[in-house]
Amino acid sequence: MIFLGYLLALILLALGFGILASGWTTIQQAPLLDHKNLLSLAQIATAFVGAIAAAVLTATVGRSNEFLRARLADSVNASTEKLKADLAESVNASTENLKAELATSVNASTENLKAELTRSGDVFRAELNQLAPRRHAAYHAIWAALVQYFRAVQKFEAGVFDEAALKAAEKACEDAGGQALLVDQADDDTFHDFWQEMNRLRELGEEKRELPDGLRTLWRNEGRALGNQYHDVRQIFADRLRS
Amino acid sequence: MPDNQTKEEWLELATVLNNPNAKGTGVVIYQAGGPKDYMENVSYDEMLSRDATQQFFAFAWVPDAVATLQQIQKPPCAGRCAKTCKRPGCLCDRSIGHCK
Repeated sequence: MIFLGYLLALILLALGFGILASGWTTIQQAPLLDHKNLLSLAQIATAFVGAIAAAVLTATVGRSNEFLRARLADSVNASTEKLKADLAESVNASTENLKAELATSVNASTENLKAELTRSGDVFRAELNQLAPRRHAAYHAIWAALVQYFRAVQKFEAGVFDEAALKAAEKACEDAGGQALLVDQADDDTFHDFWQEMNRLRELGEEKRELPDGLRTLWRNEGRALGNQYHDVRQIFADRLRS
Repeated sequence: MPDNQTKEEWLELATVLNNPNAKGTGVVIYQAGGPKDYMENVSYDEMLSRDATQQFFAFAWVPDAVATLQQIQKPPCAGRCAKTCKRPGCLCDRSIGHCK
């Protein structure tokens, strides 16, 4: 269509030049004609044909521009769409790869953690199975030694200083102290505090044993507090073993 | 009369009994009611010599085989006492009847 427009414009322009040339030739060949009128006719005809050619040319150029714009837009759209499609495809492919890698990595880490947790859990259970009875035994040992000491000191109430029983109780506390590593620090302090208090009464009893009523008086002054301390320690250790 | 609160059973340990130069820590109260002080890396005989010259109010010697200086500095020394204290490194200050 555009080519036809250009062709028509060329033909019209050629026609216009043809009329102009024909007019000039006619003037040369027919000197009798009124040159002015003939020239005016040729000019009017040429201008008419030229105007039509210019209109056709303008329309054709406009049409051509629109066509080029449309082609350019089509081309840009097509390229954009292709780029979009390529980009989407590339992003999807990368995302899928990353997802797969992430899933693999997470699965591997999870399995490792599970395995480590299982292993450490087994070790912990094994250690607990060995440690718990020993810890229990340590509490029993220190409590048994303290009770032995308390019973020996309690004889002061009857005025008796049972040296053998007190020595044996001292030895029992020394031995139990060796196991106190397995009891809580606070309970070890409780053990030593009660032991220290009974040691104090033993040393005081040793000084007063020869005095008339010395041991009974000592027990009368100290026995109640010692008995209260005995019950407190018993409660603390019992609570600890139940927890 | 020096108040030597060293436990007899510690002096009867094989590592001490067979080695007069066995090292340990001296725990000392210089005067009644005064603070406790430590002497590191001394033998029992050295402690007795120092007591003879300095007249400690109370002292004890703890062999390294029983507890080191760092170990005996850790436990709290508390409670009433008449003559001795049960925790290693604790001395009975008889002037106030308390372990320190």
